[in-house]
Amino acid sequence: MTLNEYNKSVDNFSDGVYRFILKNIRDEDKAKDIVQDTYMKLWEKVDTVSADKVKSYLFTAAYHTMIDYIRKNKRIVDIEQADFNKDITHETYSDAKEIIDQAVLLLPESQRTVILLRDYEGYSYTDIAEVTGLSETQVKVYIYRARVFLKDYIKSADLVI
Amino acid sequence: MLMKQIITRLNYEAFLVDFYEGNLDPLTKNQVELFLIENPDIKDEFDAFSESLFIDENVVFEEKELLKKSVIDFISPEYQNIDEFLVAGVENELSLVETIKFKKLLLTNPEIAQEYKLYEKTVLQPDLKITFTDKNTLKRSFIPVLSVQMLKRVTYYSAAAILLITLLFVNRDLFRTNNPPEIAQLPVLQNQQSEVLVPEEDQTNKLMAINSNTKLTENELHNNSEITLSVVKPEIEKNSPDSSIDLSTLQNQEIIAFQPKTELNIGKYAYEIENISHGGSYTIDQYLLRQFRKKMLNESREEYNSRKFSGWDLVDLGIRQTGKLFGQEWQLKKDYDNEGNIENLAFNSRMLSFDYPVRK
Repeated sequence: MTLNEYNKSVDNFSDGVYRFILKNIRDEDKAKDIVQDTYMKLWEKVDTVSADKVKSYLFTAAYHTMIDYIRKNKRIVDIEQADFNKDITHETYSDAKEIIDQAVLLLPESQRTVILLRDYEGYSYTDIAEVTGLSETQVKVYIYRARVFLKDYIKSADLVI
Repeated sequence: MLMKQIITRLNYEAFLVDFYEGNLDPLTKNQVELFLIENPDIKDEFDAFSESLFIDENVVFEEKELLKKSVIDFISPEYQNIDEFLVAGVENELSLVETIKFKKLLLTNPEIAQEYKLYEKTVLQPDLKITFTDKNTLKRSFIPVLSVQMLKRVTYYSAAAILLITLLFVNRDLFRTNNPPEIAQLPVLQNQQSEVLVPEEDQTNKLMAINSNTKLTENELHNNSEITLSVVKPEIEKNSPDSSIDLSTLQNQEIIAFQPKTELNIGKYAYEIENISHGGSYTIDQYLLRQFRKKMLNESREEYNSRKFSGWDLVDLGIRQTGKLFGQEWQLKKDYDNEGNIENLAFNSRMLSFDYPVRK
């Protein structure tokens, strides 16, 4: 990877990585730190990461850095059980986007990650599996569960509205 | 078991199957063939059996597609598992045929269509207004790729610089351009016919000789430090030093000093002379400094004779070697006054340039 390709990756992907992390942890400063760390890691591997793999490398590195951060802050929750058993309380929403944003926050960590990668970055199941270290089947299952949860949340919010 | 049995019309079927599949030993196989010859009606039956087992692989079933099912066909009549297909629709996981069928299903079933609309809302849209504003802090301006060879070179240069600095601190006389005090000094003796060797007893490596027969002017000596034995030819007589010379009277007079080369024959007082300099001889540290200026700073003889060495030369070396790491030819340009002191420094590269006078 050349210097030019590295700097181009900053222009092309830093926004996406930042949005992805910010949506997950909802802490602007920490999200920026993670982006900085991610590009630092890329710079250290600049000789070995090829330009066509840089996006995948960035999201993978960012994801793992984020997971480390979440674990340190003990905010990670059990993937299978979290949130679905919660009593959903709907606040006042001004638009549908607000509803969906709120619903995303209630998703378990893994489901939120895979659906953000899927919708924000348009990643295939294979790509998401590579980034997160999950199997393709797990990715499909998490996306399915996330969509069902979001649909149910939107439906119930619509009823409230 | 079959091998020990006699083939009869009552048990021949078992033998024929094994015969067809090639499971019989040669002896039994011959018995079966003999049996078939003796019983032509059974041979006809066996031939018909063999033909029935022949498989023509060219015969295919051409209506496979009619037998296949799509995901839509898996939807239960009560639509209990409809979510799987609605999610598949949102995820664009349906084939073209499935999509057509799926759309038909939505058109014919408003409840499912309503549910599908909700699923469509679950597709997240990134807020493009959110951007990472500190991109410039992530960008880099160069890649310092250090090969092993370069690292070695940097190490060598660093070691050389440390050694040089150490020498400078150990012997500050290096900065002086006057004659080192430990070198014996002799005048040019214009009228003296014989050569004079004036070695101090403990300074055999700093011997100096004067050849008055060779009429070399000061400039000739000054400009030709590579004068060899054939030019100067100091055949020094055994009785030197000349007792007529009063060394105490010669201290302040101009001298010519010769530095012996590697070959030194004290017994014959024959010296091979490599270098001659005017006004001084070399100590080891001076010699190292001279080599440093010649090889590392690429200074000509004229330059290192006329310019004084300073710490800026080390800075210059550092800049040159740093430039090499990045494939650039960087150099600290130094202007000197008549006395050999630096009076101006200048540097110019794509990234940085400056030009300023040096305070004295």
